[in-house]
Amino acid sequence: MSEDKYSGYPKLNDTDLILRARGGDSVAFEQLIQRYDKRVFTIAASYVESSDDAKDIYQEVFLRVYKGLSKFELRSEFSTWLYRITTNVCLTHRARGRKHTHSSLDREMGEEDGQSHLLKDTLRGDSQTDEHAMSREISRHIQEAMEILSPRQRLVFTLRHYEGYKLREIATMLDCSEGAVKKYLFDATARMRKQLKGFLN
Amino acid sequence: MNHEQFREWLHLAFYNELGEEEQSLLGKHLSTCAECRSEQAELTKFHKVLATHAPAPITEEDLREARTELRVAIRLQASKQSWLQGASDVVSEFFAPKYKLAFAGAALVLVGIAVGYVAFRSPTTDEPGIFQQSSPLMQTSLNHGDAQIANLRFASQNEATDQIEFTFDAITPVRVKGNVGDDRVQKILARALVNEQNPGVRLKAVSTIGDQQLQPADKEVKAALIATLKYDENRGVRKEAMKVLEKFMPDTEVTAAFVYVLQHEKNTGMKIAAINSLNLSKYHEYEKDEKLMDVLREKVRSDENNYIRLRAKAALQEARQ
Repeated sequence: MSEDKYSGYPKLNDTDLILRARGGDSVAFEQLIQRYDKRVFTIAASYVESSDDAKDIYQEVFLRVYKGLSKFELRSEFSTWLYRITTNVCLTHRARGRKHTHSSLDREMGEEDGQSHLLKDTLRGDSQTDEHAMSREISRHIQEAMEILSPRQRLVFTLRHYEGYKLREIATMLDCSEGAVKKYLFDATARMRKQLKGFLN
Repeated sequence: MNHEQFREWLHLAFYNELGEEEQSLLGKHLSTCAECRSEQAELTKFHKVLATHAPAPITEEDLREARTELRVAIRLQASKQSWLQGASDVVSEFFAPKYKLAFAGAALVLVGIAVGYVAFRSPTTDEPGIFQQSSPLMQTSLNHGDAQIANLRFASQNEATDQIEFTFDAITPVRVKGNVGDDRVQKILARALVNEQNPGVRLKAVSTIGDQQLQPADKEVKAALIATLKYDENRGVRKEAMKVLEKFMPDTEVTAAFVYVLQHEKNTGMKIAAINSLNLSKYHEYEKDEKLMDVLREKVRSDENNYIRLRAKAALQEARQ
């Protein structure tokens, strides 16, 4: 039997690791987590804005796995179960004391320095030459546009657009039909386009 | 095929969700439909903007921190479960005393067989599978009877071949002698900090780590200290972790951890220690830290402690100047 190069622990398939973890083998449980946790963290990080929130989701997912492992039916794939938990936790996650400040392109800026000017003018003006600042600003607006989506729309959009999952796979994760996933994706796209109209034009 | 269907396909085409035939039909439709071509151009712009502004990939550091915090959370969960298990055992014993002796006897026999099998059976080379995950040090300890055996679990038994498979936790004392500043010693202490059940041992581990001049590169040690400060259930251990973490300042992650304490900690003494440890007079341009500013505003508004409200207010006033 080959060994994991870091832990020296034998390389086992998911089922064997689950059986060992159920028996209280913490090394097996850790190996099982580390096989998938980067993906879980990536999904969480693209779904929420802050890394603290992503860590909260990550922790909640694996605590649920830890508590539920004894009841997990080995007939199904561990990864399917895990990603279903991940999507559920994302959907029910409440951001950690975060204030949602939806700024619009017509939002007034410069409250601090007393010089009021519009954000879209700022972007059109001299700062346009500063590509980095502009790029940061666009990213922020994309993030804010995503925040107006419903949790399911945002999750489907994130999983398809940024994580590259197929619609069929997302349907399995969310335990719904592929048609429903399409609807979430199209609605999300329509709302995002509307919200980002200023940049797209 | 109607126009709406092609519009849907147009969206799906951007996600490579169309089959070859659908792709070809869509191509033909696009050559004749100006409205769909215009929609295609708009969607191209949309996807281009999003592709060039994708969220930043996760960092190894964030992942490491998340793993460390998870270990602490699982330790807490395990201790909760063992407490519940203990309570449930007491209840079971109370309700089923007549099975108690029989069960204990059976369990003892099983453990006896297994321990005897492990401790007294001479290792042979014709069974490479035995001690699959134990180190040579552990095997020696087992053969000499130094290791404590616990949580014996039978995985399988083949009566025809007399083959048996089981797992157990073998706890063997390991003596380490080295400089407390040694990187490996520090990492062992950091691991103990995260995994150890006994708060006294965790406290000792933190203070031993703190006795040293920590290197900024000790990321694992720092992550363990931060997780301890944020999540350890024992206030004394959290307080000690905060004292040690001050040595890392100025540091973005440690600052974030102090802000977390200021925001979430219920104990007033800990909050006061956090606002003092932040040492805002030395924190260059702290007014740009949005999270910190939000927490300070919230403290001014609603913290029940006068000192914290005053400190937060002073910090905000200084930031405005």
